[in-house]
Amino acid sequence: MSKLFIKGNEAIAEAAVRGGCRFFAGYPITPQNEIPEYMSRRLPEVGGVFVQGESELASINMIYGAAYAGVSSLTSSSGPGLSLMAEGISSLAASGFPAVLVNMMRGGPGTGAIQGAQMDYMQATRGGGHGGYRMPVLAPGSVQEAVDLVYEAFDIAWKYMTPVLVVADGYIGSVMEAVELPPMKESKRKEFPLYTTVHLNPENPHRRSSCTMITNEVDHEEWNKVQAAKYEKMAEELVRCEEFMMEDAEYVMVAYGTSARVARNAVISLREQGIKAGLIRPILIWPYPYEALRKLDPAKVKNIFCLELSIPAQMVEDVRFGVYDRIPVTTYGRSAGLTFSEEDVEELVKKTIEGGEK
Amino acid sequence: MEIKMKIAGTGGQGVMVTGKILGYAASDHNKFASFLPQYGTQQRGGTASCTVIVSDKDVTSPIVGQPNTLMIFEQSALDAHIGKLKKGGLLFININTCKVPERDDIEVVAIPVDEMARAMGSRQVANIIMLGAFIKKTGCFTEDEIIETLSHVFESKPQVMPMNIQAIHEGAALIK
Repeated sequence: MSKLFIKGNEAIAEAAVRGGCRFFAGYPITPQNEIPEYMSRRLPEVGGVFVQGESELASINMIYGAAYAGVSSLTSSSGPGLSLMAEGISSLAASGFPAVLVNMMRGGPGTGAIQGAQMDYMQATRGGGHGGYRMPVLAPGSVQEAVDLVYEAFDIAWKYMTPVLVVADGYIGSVMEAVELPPMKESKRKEFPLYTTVHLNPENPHRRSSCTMITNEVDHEEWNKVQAAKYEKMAEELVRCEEFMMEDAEYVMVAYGTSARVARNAVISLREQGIKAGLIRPILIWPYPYEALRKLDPAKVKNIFCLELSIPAQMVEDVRFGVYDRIPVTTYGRSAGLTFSEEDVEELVKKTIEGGEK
Repeated sequence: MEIKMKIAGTGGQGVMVTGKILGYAASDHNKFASFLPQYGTQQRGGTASCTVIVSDKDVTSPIVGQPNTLMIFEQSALDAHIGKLKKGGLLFININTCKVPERDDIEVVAIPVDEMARAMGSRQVANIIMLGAFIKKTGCFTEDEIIETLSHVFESKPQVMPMNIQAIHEGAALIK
């Protein structure tokens, strides 16, 4: 199959259409504007519907409605927009409705910076909205992987009946690379029966309610247990990470997205200089690949470097949870739309080695 | 071959287009590439820059800290990027707007692209003249290959092709 040289945002939009997306609602924000722009002309071609909502809140509630109508739906935004959508995302999760959300991350907090960053790790992996829900969080490391993961995200959303979040740093949205697009998949469509008096339908395998508000306490708790079991199942089944040159690694980098691409180059370069470096790259950041860190041997691994386009470091909390104080962890990052280079990472590793030898 | 370059100038000088053309050319001619535009609060006359990698092997990271090649259209862009150019690196500058920098560890290709473009009758092809010199000097694409890619890029406006073909040839002819 021939490859297409395409911008990340446009590739993500096309992958969503090919993955079955037939409804998009969203509100503009940099650095993801090419996604709605592309969808506005592409969705009508496949019988889909595009709406530019009057706000993020309106858009996420349209997604909620479309999901309830059984249509594979997508919204995309960036950090501040996801904050505004938090209420609706919590409702989607509470109802167990399938939908795919894209956060093309930019600098934060607050209005932050329009350039790419990885500042929404906590928001993405710890809920973002209220109520303690969980949802799979896919973190592509290239445009090709963004295509593959967005395409797969609709399957995950339908399989577990959950919103699925795809988080990419803005660099993945704005970079142009050659990608192979997957074939057009049939759009999944499902009519949900509307239950107005019985909140939980025992015949429904997902035992979902007709609305997020369950007034009976016992039923509500029962539903929370069903949801909690689903979160555990997702946590068990969806862990995915890439381990690069890890077999004999003494200096281990942990990074995702564009940070991991920079780290990979640094690993290659350090290896050429005789330094045993390796990389653990989470492909989903929830559930987190703790096992990849737990199995590290403190007698072999001398230092771990948690690399993120974020100040303060955020993923380090998951890294520390996996490492459990057995191996020293160093954090390093840039923020506000600035990046670090492979040379910066190499220098960091070498300085740490020198410091350790004193 | 792995060219890790920055292209920089002011808005309207064709910085982004030049980068994209190189990306499309790589895609057309079995090479690997990435094109990463640097976004800021863009405006006409403001600064514009992008990072381009053209390689024989897969591009691992589109982020370049120390480029081995620079293509610069304007003095302020040169000032901003010259310090990061690797030792032994290659610098292409628009000599109508830039002074040759005081570094003796790099190779400088200085071309009066504005003047040449004006002589050709369209100041818009200045970047394409630079591109012609660039591909000849680095050998990353032949003139025919880049012209084929340009014909795809300008598919909807074939009337601009003769001027662009001439620009590629004139730029390439400057490299001995």
